Amino acid sequence: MKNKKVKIKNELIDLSFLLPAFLVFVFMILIPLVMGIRFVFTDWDGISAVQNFVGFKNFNTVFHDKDLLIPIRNTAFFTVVTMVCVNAIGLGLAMLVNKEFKGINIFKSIIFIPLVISLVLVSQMWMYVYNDFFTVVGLENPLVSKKYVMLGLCGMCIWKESGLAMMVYLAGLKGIPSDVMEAAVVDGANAWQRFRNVTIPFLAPAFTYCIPLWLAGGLRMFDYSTVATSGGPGNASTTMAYYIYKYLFPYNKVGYGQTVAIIYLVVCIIISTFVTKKLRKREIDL
Amino acid sequence: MRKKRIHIGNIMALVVISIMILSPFYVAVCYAFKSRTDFAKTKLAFPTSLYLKNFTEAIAVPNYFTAFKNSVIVAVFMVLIIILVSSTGAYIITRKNNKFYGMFYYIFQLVILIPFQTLMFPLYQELNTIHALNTLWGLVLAQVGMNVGYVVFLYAGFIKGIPVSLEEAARLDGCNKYQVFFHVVFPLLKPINMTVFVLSFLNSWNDFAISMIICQKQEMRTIPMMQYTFFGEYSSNVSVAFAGALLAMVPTVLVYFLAQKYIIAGMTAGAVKS
Repeated sequence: MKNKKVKIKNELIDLSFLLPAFLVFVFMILIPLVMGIRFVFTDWDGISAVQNFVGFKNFNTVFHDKDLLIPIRNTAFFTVVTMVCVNAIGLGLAMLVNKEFKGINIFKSIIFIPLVISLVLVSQMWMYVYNDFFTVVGLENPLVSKKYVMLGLCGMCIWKESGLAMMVYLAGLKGIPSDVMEAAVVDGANAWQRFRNVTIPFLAPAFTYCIPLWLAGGLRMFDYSTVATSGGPGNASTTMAYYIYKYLFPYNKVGYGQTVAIIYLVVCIIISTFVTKKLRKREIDL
Repeated sequence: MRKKRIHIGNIMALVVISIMILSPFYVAVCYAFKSRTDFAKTKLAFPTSLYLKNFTEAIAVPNYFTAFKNSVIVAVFMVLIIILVSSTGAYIITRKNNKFYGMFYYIFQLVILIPFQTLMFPLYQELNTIHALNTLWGLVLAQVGMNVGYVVFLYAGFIKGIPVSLEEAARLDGCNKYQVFFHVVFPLLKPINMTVFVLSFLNSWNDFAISMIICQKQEMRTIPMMQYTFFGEYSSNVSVAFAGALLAMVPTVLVYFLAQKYIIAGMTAGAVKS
């Protein structure tokens, strides 16, 4: 009897360690998530006391909404371009700085700096780079062009985040045993063969980390569109995240906006887990 | 001889890249040190004299100081709470290592995947009903919530590598479980604590999306939100706006140079295979 009491007390003490994190999870994640699912079945405007139950009407609206195609296209474009460029440039930079000589750390520090600056400041600096520098050297300011605005925003992201990819790939490159590389040289492998057959396989864990990271980051892009362009010109740079924000807050269409937000959540999770699983599997195969 | 030439090529490439990385900062610094007339006339030309009045004018803007103070308060409390909450949670999850606690490990990993926009509106409603909208503590809790998944993941990865024997010895010496954690385990977490400290500080200090929803009221705004409106209102006087932005950057740059090692460790933690 007493033994049982001690056991229960022990379990409660253990639970108390988890309790703070659990409460944060419940109040900041779980309750909003469940509340959000409830809004999906209403036509609520976010203000009035009336919330009419409309069943699956919002889903019907979403699946027939042609306006939604623009943010989907923009988000897909931003995600693919930044994911490819950040990883390719990051890997290139990592190979460039993977040398031991005096002053190399200064270069690494400089390349990493943009990462600690807020997205708001990055957007604002680049607005003036595009506006005052690009126009002076005879280039178009991409942010005012419907055609190039997403490319302009991609540029900001690539500038800001390539340093992080560099650091991850650099850690991977440092982990390649030198005797493996030397053996490849002795066997007469040329630079490309060494890169393809030694470097890339050893970097598999870094790819498994980096690709989903920028995939998820791209799918969530919000700050650049909000600060630099307000989704414009027109809605040429409206991303999914900014589109959802617009419907939930300025437009007061909570039922519709939250429906898009929930579908967006499911799609994001499916894409992320699918890609991560594929990469993990590939990693084992190599 | 050959080796040296390769390095020279690398250095030249790195110099060009560094200039590309630094040039946007040049725009900010250049404009911040120019008077309004100078700015209109010379634009991006190198400033010939240092015009410091922009900085005093930026500080004098109503709410600049308030926003700075708000950012400091939010960042400090956010960091303290997330370290306490995540380290205890991750500790018990890794040490118990059974089905029940393992489930929470997966829940927190899943939390990392949730985009903020899905929770944004309901969270706004929830905080509204408990009168936490436009309060700093409401913002602190929301930021902790949005970061807790990744931080628990970081802690769990680190704690797995700490041997249990020290804790068992402390238990035999008569320490209770709380004493074991705070006197034996927590000091061992110092490297990861530092990493979480700087990462969470930067996330909180630079956060825009969350504070934009929760602290819209002018006297409750943090720096990124203030800067966002600042550039709108001061579009005719960009120099003052950039001067204010540069001042707001000082804490992040300080943290960066003092704790670069920990930032890199935290941001690349997932990539190193354990």
